[in-house]
Formats: sequence, structure tokens, C-alpha cells
Amino acid sequence: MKQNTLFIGCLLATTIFGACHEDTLQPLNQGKFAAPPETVAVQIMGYQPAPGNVFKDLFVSNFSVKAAVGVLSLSTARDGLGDGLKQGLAATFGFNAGTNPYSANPGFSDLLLYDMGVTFSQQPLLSCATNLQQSSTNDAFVFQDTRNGAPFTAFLGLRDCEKQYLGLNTSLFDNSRSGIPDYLKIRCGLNPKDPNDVTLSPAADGVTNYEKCKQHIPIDESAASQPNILFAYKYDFEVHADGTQNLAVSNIAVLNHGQDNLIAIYLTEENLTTKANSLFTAFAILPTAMNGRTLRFNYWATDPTKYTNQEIIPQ
Amino acid sequence: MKLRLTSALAACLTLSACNDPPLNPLVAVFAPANATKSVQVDFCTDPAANQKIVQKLLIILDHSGSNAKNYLMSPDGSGAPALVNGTIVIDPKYATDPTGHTRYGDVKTPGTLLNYLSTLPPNDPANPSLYFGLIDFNGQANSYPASGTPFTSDISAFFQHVQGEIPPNDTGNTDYLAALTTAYTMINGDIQNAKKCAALALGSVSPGAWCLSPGVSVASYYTLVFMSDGSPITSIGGVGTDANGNIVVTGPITITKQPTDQILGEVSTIMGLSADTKDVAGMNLFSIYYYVPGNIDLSSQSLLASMAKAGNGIAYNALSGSNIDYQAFLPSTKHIKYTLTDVFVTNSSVVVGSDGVARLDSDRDGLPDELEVQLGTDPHKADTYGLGISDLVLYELRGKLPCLAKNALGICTDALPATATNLTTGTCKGLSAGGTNPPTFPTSDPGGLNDCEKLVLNDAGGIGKPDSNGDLISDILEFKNGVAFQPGSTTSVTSPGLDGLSIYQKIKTSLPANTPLYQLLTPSPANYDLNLTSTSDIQDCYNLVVANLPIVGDSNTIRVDIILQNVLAGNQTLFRVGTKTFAPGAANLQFNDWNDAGEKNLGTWKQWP
Repeated sequence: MKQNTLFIGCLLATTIFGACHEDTLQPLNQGKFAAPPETVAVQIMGYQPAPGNVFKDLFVSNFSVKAAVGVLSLSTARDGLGDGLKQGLAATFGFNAGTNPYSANPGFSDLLLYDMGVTFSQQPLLSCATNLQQSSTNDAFVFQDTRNGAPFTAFLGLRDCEKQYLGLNTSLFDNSRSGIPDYLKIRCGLNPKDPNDVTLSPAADGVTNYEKCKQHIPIDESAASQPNILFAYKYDFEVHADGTQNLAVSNIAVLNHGQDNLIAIYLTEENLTTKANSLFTAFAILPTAMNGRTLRFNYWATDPTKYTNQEIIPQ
Repeated sequence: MKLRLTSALAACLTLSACNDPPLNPLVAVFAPANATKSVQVDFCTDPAANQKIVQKLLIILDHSGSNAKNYLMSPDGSGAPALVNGTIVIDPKYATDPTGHTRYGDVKTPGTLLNYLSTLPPNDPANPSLYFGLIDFNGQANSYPASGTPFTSDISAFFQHVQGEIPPNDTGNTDYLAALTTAYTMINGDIQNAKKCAALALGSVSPGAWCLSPGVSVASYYTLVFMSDGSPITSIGGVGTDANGNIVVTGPITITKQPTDQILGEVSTIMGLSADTKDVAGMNLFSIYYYVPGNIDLSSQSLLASMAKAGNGIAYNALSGSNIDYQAFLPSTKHIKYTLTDVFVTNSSVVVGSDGVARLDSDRDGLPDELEVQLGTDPHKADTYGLGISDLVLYELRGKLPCLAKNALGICTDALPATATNLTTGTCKGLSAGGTNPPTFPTSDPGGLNDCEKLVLNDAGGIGKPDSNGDLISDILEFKNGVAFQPGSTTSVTSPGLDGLSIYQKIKTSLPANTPLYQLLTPSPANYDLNLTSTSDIQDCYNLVVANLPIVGDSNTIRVDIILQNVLAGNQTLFRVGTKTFAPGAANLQFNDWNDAGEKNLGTWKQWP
């Protein structure tokens, strides 16, 4: 773009003054351009905070899509690793680019093994006791994955043993108190122990890591690039006279026309008295031909039995 | 009126003359836009490497009497003695490990403890990576090394000690809690030693084997191997001895055990030490239940399995006389990949004032030349008085007061703050300064402030760290911008001007940190264009172009701060700080990274750690 501007400026100068003092034109940089992706929107109707709480934030993420360097890639296992990357790492890490996010070690996810750099030969030394394979804080999505011939219990989050291994408190969902749940922070490439990294903006584009994580933009890329402008999620809140709110998130990129894309929803609140944070989670697995449509549903966490891990069935 | 004005104008045009005085030249009321240039940085994150692990293996061995002499156990699995014809059956064949072979093995049998220890290569004395501790317990617990020196890296001495325990002295009860409490004391003591060691001055003399590298933070991976043959029984009721010393049943058999919840609670307490991720790289407790076939204490087996679960380890069962593979207790090695956390490109040769105007700072001390003239310091000498601290630090120590008196050369003759500048009695007296005129104080990190400067700026805790408060901004960038950088301060994330830009963002884009954006007539932030050029599981490479960087004059010196982190494994932060100067007349400046041969020759980069 800058070279183009220079060129146009020089052209004008040549036309008007008959000369241009630029010695040579610089080669044009090849820009990264993306075509508009297929998208869906999420609309949460009639949201009201739990008694004594106030709304803190909403995070929506399509776990089946990974955005990087202007490209959207499919993550069949919905674990934050693109299929191509997992295939490339199969020999080193023992990953299987199928549907299982725990394809190498039943206790430690592929994403964590990759981020921790625990390679295939070292993985047998990691063990996760049965009683630590749960999430004490219920901040994970747990459901039956029936996509292939052998259904299994999918777990998208941090097991207690994974939190222990990372030095995290298993009874907290946001160890750094940065506002972003631990698992989402890790998926965004952030440190669940660091309270400061969400405020940074390595690309100095005025958009912090917090906002990029929320908008599904890679933290080390500029939000102003053409692909990321196209890919960024858009959040919109609507407050009603009766105190309820509609929360909307649009421009959520999907692949395969949305089929089997998993939309994860995290909503956080703070208690006015105790200042304690609460987490409410839901997820939806999209049917095919969902692209271009809105996933509209009533707020799910209407009683304590429905606070977390609630599956939304698209209508 | 309209007619008259039009007529006057027509008259002026017609006569080509007008008697009004000439217009005065315009006065610039807006700050002029800063001159700018661009800087390009091509760099790759440090290649992934195996994490250095210091392993501490703590072996906990049961020395209760059942190893040497045991009874036939009740088939109910409780660990209580069985009654056969109303009597307790005690037989050598029920002893779980009379020779100690299960627990110790021998030097010739692969996989046993003695073989494992005897075949280990010795540690590098200057940089040991494997440490050992031993706890023997029955009714009480004793450790080797004794309390005060939690672990030893002398593998040969440890081997000799373990071998010297054969034949084992096995008698008394099975006090799990005593063993676990001793383990906690040993590990906690080791962690405290690590903290004390890291807090010592970098490069200072080692105070002992517990701290071979003062000032260096070393995290340890603790592996506990808890080996027992039975339940934590503290007493058995209904049993006595007759006149001949034989064991006889005197009433209903009752056994008293240490409560399971207390034991598991103690395991959790030990595991809780792993929350200190700076000093603890990991912790696992493995358990081994050994037994004689047909005489199994199921409750003990279950308890040991629960302990391994609580300890994030694995429970093993071993027949008496069988081998244990100690290699299986090695921790996993992490292949650490570093990712880009942030990058700052700033011009050390200019100071952007609160009015947004860039002013030349010839000596790059953080004070613009024109201010130095007012203050009576030399604009071309970063340390005018030869004190070993920069003029900006001195200005801060003087309370930013104006100079009251100057000499003929224009140098301020006001009294210098003695606490900061006296090498004999001042704050920096403990630092070994190279020379005295001027003194050269050690610089333990590339943050941009030497150790003395940090001391006098109340940043003793930040010596050796380029980012004392851990907010991921180098100390000197914060200090030059008038922002607190000492431990505990987090002001950089705030936006005191309520202008939508945090102090961090202003520092990064070369805007005045403490001026609200709306007060600047021509705000001109530096413009970063960061692009990922390649990525792999080893490293990421980037191209960064920073345009609109404020420039004054020629030959400005540019500073690049690149911060890398391993986000999950090790939680380690790396700082790479490069400085380079624009060639005279050059419009652009190119940095390659610290692995580039040309940059190495130029000495462009400082690396930390």
C-alpha cells in the first residue's frame, strides 16, 4: 500500500513537473487478502445476571476454526490446533488429526502437549490420575462426540491434572484474574498465570490481546489487516426496559458450511458483595447449512443446574 | 457597505497599489510535526530447546517390623492378623522383605535401587542435575541427608549410605504421617533454599552446596517414591505376650490406623508446594506396595493407590524380591518453544516532551539537550559528574529541582546527593565498582539501568531483572517516561489521561506517556507493521517495520526490546535488547536478530538471561 501511494505520488509529480526524483520503484509487497468467510451469528435472548451478580463479559469462540496469517483452517478435534499442523506434528508428538483432542495422551490434551513441548517419547511419563481427569470448576465442555464410529466423551477444557501440571489452582477458572477463562487464554496463546499479558498489543494496533482473544484474532497479528478485519467477531448488547439484555455476536467464521462446528460460549459475572467471579458456559454443535443464519436461543443459566456445559440445540 | 468594500478592492486592483502596511509573517502556533524515519527488524524467536531440569528424587522406605517378621493376615483385607485356632500365626515366610532386596536390590540386578545408584554417572560438580534424599520410617522417620541439607548431589556418597543400610533394621510400627511430614519438611526447606539462593547477588561467592549459582533461579522437579508393605497401623488391641514371651490373643482383635483423610491431606499439602511454579518445575508421588503372595493387605494397597492419585503419580504393586525400575520415575522433558510476547522500537536519541515535540538527547540519558543546559549538566555526557549514574537518575534524586548555581562552564554546582554518590558511605557502597573516576557499576541485566541506579531508585529487588515489576516493559523505557517500574507497580496498564490509550501503548508508540492525547496538537504515534513470516514447532519468524518513529537530526540511536516467553512450560521470559545507529543521511535502519553473524560482530544485541 505504501509503495502504491508512493507510485501514485510520483506519477502526479511526473505529470505536473515532468520529473520524479525517486531513483527506483520498490517492488510491491504481496499482500495477504482473504475472501469473506461464511459466518454465523449467536443471539442470546433475555439474559439476566444471577441474583447479586453483575455482567462482566461474554466470550464466544468457534472451536472448530483456527485463524492465522490470514487463513482459516479446520480443527476437527476442536482443540485449537489446525488439522494441518497436527498432521505435521504427528511424528514428533504422536498426534492423530482426528476428532479426539486427547489423541496422544488420555490425560493431557494435544494442545497442552504441543504448548508444553512434551514430545512423543516423553508422554508416557505424564500420568493423569482418574480422579484428576475432571474439571473441579466445571469450566470445560464435556459431551459425547459421535462423529465417527466409536463415540467417546469429548473434553474441551483443562482437566485438574492439567491445571496442576501448569501450576494452576484447580478451583479457579481464571487463575490470573485477567477476565479471560484459563482454557480460552491458552487457546489464544496467552499465559493463564500472567495478569498483564492481556493488556499488551504486540502489533501496536491499538487492539489489546484481550480484545483479540475475544474477537478471534491472532494476538501477534494486526487487527487492521484485511483478513483480520474480515474475520473479527462483532459483539453487540441490547438492554431492555425490563432489565433483561440480548447479547449478540456476529461474523463468527465457520468452515464446511458450519457442519459440526462447535460454538463455545463463556459468560462471566461478578458478585457485587463478595467480588467473586462466576462462569456460565454453553456450547452448540452446528448442523450443516448453518452458514448465514443466526443461532438464537434464550439465556440458559436460569438455575444452578444449568450454569455450565449446557448444550444449545440449533433450531 | 458592500458597495464601498467592493469599490476599495477594485481601486487597489486597478491602481496596483494599496496603502495598507504589509502583512506580517505568520507565526507558527501549532507544534511542528516531528521528523520521522522507519526501522525494520527481521527476527526469529529463540529456537525451542529442552528445558533444563534439576531433579530431586526422594525415596521413602518402610522399615516397620513386618519386613522382618509378619503375621498371616485376615482374609478381610483389613491388614489385621488372622486367627487360626484362636491364635495369631507368625511365620518368617510372611515377612515382606527380610533381606531388604525388594527395597534396595543389589548392584548387579538391573533396575534395583542399588544398581540404579551404582550405575549413574556422577553429577557435574559445578552444575549438578540430579539430587537424592532418603527417608526411613517405622514408628518415626529419619532422613538422609539429615535436616538442614535437604538433598544431596553426591551420588557416590548417597549410594554408600544406602548400601550401608543393608541388612536393614526393621522394627516397630508404620507411621506414614511421620514419613510424609518429614518429606514436606525436606522439600519445603529445599524450596526455601532455592529462593534464598536466587535472591543473592548474581555472580557472588557460593555460600555452600545449597546454592552453587547465587542469583540464579533454578526450579526443581520433585519425585517422591513411597514404598511400604502395609497399613499405617499404630497399635493392635487384643494381643499380648505370655510368660514365655509368645504372642497370645487376650481379647477381640482391634487395629488402630492413622486416618486415611489425614494421610491424603498430608500428600495434598506436599503437592501444594508445587503451586510455587517458579521454584517447582513439577512434583509427582509414586507409591509401591510390596507383599508376599497370598498375604495381601488390601487396605494398604488401596491407601497407597489413593496416595499416588493425590500425588499425580502412579501406584505400583511389587512382589517381594521383584525389581523396581527407577528410570520410570524420571520426569518428562519439555521442549520449550518461545513465543513473541511484545516488541518495542524506540529512539534513544530523542525525548518526546509533554507537548508531543521530539527533542534531541545527544547523550541518550533521557534528558533532552535543552533541558540539560538549563539543569547545568552536559548534554553530551550521560554521566556529567562521573558518578556512575546517569544525569536522568541524578535529576530524579535531586527531586527534579532546577539548578541554583552554575560554574563558568555552565555545570551545576549544587550539592550532590551524598547517599547516592558517595562510594564509601552511599547506597551503592556494597557494589564492586570498576574504577572510581568514574566508577563503573555492574549491569546485571539489559534493562538499561545499572545496579547502582536501581539501588538508588529503590529497585534493589529488580537488580538482575530487565523488567522489575513484571509488566513486560523494560525498566528504562518506563523510567524515561516517568512511569514507576519498581516491583509492585503496575501503572503502565492504566490510562490516567482517560484518552483511551494506556501508558503502555504510549510508551510503545513514542507518545508522551503522561500527556492526554487530546492535549497534543499533532499526535504522531509510531506505526508498527508486524508480520509473521514463518512458523513451526521450533520457532516463529517475524518482519517488523516501524514507521513514523520520531527523529531529530542525524545518527539517532534506536533501541529494540524484544520480549519472548514460554507461555506454559517454565514460564520463562527472555529479553533481547538491540541498539543500532542510523548511518549519516540514511532514511532507514535495518536490524537482524541476535543470531545473525553480522549483528554479532557489531555487538548489536544483549540477551537476558
